[in-house]
Amino acid sequence: MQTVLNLLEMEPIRFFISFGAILFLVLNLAAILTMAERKTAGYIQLRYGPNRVGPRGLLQPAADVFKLFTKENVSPGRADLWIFLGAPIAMFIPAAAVWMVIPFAPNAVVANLNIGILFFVAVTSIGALGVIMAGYGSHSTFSLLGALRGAAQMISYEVPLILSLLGVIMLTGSLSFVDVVNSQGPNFWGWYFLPQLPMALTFYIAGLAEVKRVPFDLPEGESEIVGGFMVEYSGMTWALIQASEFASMGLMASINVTLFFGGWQPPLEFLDLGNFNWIWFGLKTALIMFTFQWIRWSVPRLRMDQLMDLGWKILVPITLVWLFVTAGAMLVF
Amino acid sequence: MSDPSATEGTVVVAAPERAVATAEPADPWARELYFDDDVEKHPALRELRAAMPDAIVDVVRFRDETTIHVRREAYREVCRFLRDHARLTFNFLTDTTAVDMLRLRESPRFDVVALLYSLPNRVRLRIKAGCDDGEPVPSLVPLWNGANWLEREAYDMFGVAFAGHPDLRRTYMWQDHFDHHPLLKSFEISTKRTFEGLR
Amino acid sequence: MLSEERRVEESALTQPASGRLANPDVRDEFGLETLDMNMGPQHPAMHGLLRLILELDGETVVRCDPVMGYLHRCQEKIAENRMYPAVIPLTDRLDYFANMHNEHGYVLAVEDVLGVEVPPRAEYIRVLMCELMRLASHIPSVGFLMLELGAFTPILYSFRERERIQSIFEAVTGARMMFHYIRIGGVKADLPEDIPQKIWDYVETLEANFQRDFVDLIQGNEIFISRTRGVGKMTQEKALEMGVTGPALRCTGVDFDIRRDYPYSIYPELEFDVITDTAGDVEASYRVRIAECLQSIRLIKQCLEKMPEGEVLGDTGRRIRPAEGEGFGRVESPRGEYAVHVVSDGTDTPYRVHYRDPSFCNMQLLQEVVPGHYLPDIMPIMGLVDPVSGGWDK
Repeated sequence: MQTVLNLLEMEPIRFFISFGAILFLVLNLAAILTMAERKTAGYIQLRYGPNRVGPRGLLQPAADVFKLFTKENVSPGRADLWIFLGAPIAMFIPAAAVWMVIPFAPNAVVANLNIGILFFVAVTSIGALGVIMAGYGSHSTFSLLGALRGAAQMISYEVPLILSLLGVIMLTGSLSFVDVVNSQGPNFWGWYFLPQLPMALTFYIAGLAEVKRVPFDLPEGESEIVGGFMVEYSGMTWALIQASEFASMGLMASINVTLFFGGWQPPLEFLDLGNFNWIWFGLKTALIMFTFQWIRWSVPRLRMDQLMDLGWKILVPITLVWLFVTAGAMLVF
Repeated sequence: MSDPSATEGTVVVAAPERAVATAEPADPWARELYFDDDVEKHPALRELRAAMPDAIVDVVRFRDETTIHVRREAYREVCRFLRDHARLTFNFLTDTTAVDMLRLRESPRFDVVALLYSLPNRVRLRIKAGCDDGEPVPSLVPLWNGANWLEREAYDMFGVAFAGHPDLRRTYMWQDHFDHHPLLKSFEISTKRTFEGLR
Repeated sequence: MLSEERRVEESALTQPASGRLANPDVRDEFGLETLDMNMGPQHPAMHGLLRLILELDGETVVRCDPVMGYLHRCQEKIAENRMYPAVIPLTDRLDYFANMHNEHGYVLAVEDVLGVEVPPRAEYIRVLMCELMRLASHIPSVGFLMLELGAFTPILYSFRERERIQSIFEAVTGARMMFHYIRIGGVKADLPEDIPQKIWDYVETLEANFQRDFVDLIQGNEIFISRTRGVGKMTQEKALEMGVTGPALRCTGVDFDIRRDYPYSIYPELEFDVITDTAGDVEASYRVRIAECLQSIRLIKQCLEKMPEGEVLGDTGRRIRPAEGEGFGRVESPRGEYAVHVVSDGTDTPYRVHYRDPSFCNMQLLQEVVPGHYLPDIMPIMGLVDPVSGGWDK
């Protein structure tokens, strides 16, 4: 028994097990989120949503996955096959990899990088590469337009996203997610969303744009460019793109929670659950993800120029101003 | 005003009454005249007869619809006159189409129909121009851009060529593989006939 | 109202809309080429089977050329080989979002050439059905507009209302969409006994919830406003010149409604307002549609209140064989002026039937309005025009 535990402590094995756990978590998260998305849509739209497979339709994701596995993977005749098939992978890996630096509970983080936030910023921007690969490799005008939109959008929204992180980094004095969470304290008034409210809002909006959700789902834009960069995908490649979209949505929600809403910290001190604080983390993340879905089924989509206006003319100035406010406040107090 | 030389007691009293009594029917633009039983009283027809008398071939009245048959060459000019006339202002082209008159009369073969509507007067007028096979009809696109597709459709269905139409392509039928004009009376519905000569 | 001094610049019009815009000079100064793109005919957001050949400069549309004919059934030719009453079910298939109006227009044309009297109760039932149909068309078209903007929820709300109206239609006519209800000389059958009350109740509920479901949900939305205000803007002159009718014309400010200006059936006896707006963009067309829904509710209530007793089908004789002549029927369908031109040669089949469908005529403005807009703006402009595939393809 002791040997097994010692073995588990070894760095490579610990890493592999953790990586497997993360992969398991991400893929299941994607499946559960599709289900949640459809159920939320159903309740908002005065209908039931999926309710035929399993009790209350809970096995619907399994059925979906089974169907997607058995489906033929069609690729366009003139597609650049390596790029075409590489794109879903290039999209999925960044979405899954960032989960490694997120602290789920005290002591429950795969890699406590001291540059965790930098790692997050760097790796998520690789996702744009996957979008461009998908659009370029598909040999379709719709895909190309979607990819161009996606690249433009993701690169522009990196700027307010990163700027809105800076306030938290300044307050914490560290780039590690673990330090960020620890410094927020076990009461909700210690969390950073209060002193950093404009930054939290900016991060939320920029995060929505970064993961291409409504109202910023222009790269997909199913009513004008029919799914955009993923229009030519089918079967498992499509499922992988979807999984990476949902994984990055969950990721963005959890980063939101980690940076501004106290991570695994309980809302009030006496609610501390010790090692089970991951429940708080999960609850908060689920709440943020629910707001993502709520927005998705409530508002229309922006246009490309309006999207750029919002990013560059509103969000970036807000973050810059609040950066100076934070810096000034830190000087004074 | 009454004649200043008239005596004051007699004429001045009667003059306003006479004016009221005669002015109403004398109004040459009254809306009733458009629907009068006597088609010659129709203001548009009256003005047309005065302006371009040789353009009119025939005038038909059926229920409350007035149809003016005009010469093919004058078709566009008549429409332009009716559109630009200060009082008639038939400024809205509702519809343009063609009718194949093969079984109804000898010649000309087609009637090209333009339905005009006057927004200020709220009246309609139908202009018809007869044309034979192969004879070009002046297009109405220079007057109303809305005639563009309607004339394309008439060309597609009847083969009526519109002179001056900028973009005379088929609307519905195949552009490359179809040589017929389906609404012609000489075109019979039969699968074999329809699809012969198709590549 | 249009000024009488209007003159169209003819030099600008002798060039085709597409030819003028496909000018090779419309290129980037860097010598970049435009991107050709086929939108449709199999496109999830396109209203039916329409193919738009687009020329894109980045996201800006340089040229838009609609190609039709993917649903063409040559209805006019089929009608020439059928007897007069047998054409009515075909007209249902024209504009399948305004079936009652299609029937009404055709029947008016045949009655015009035939010269029959329609019993007053039948007239009231016709108008009642047509106004219900207008509700069933305007409300989903608002939903479609939102769907095209990327919001999925309003269309389901609007289809809920459409389903309820269709249930009323089913109870009255026996069919949900292809009614074959309005006949030459009247209507097929009288209303079932409980239906007037049901319609009244439904209309009351709709009116009570209308503000909540279709105005508050949509109108104040910042994204909706930014996506629609100023999009698809056209002037009165342009709209009139293109032959646009219906809400697309009224949203530019032209006060033109056939129900009032060239009345048919019993519309002169009913009170309603013609809704106009001045902006002439997508948002204005949305406002016009919404306000027209309320006017339709008003008309329906008046019809139910004033409906006389009596016959519903006049005497047209065993065979319908009109004398030689031409008949015209035009109605204000939800999309605009729907006109039917029937030429009779004295036999019992029409010599020529021509449908002037508003979808077809309104769609011409795509060529004119779309160029210069961004690619995502095409869909709201389609929502402004609101064409129906069965209508433009006949």
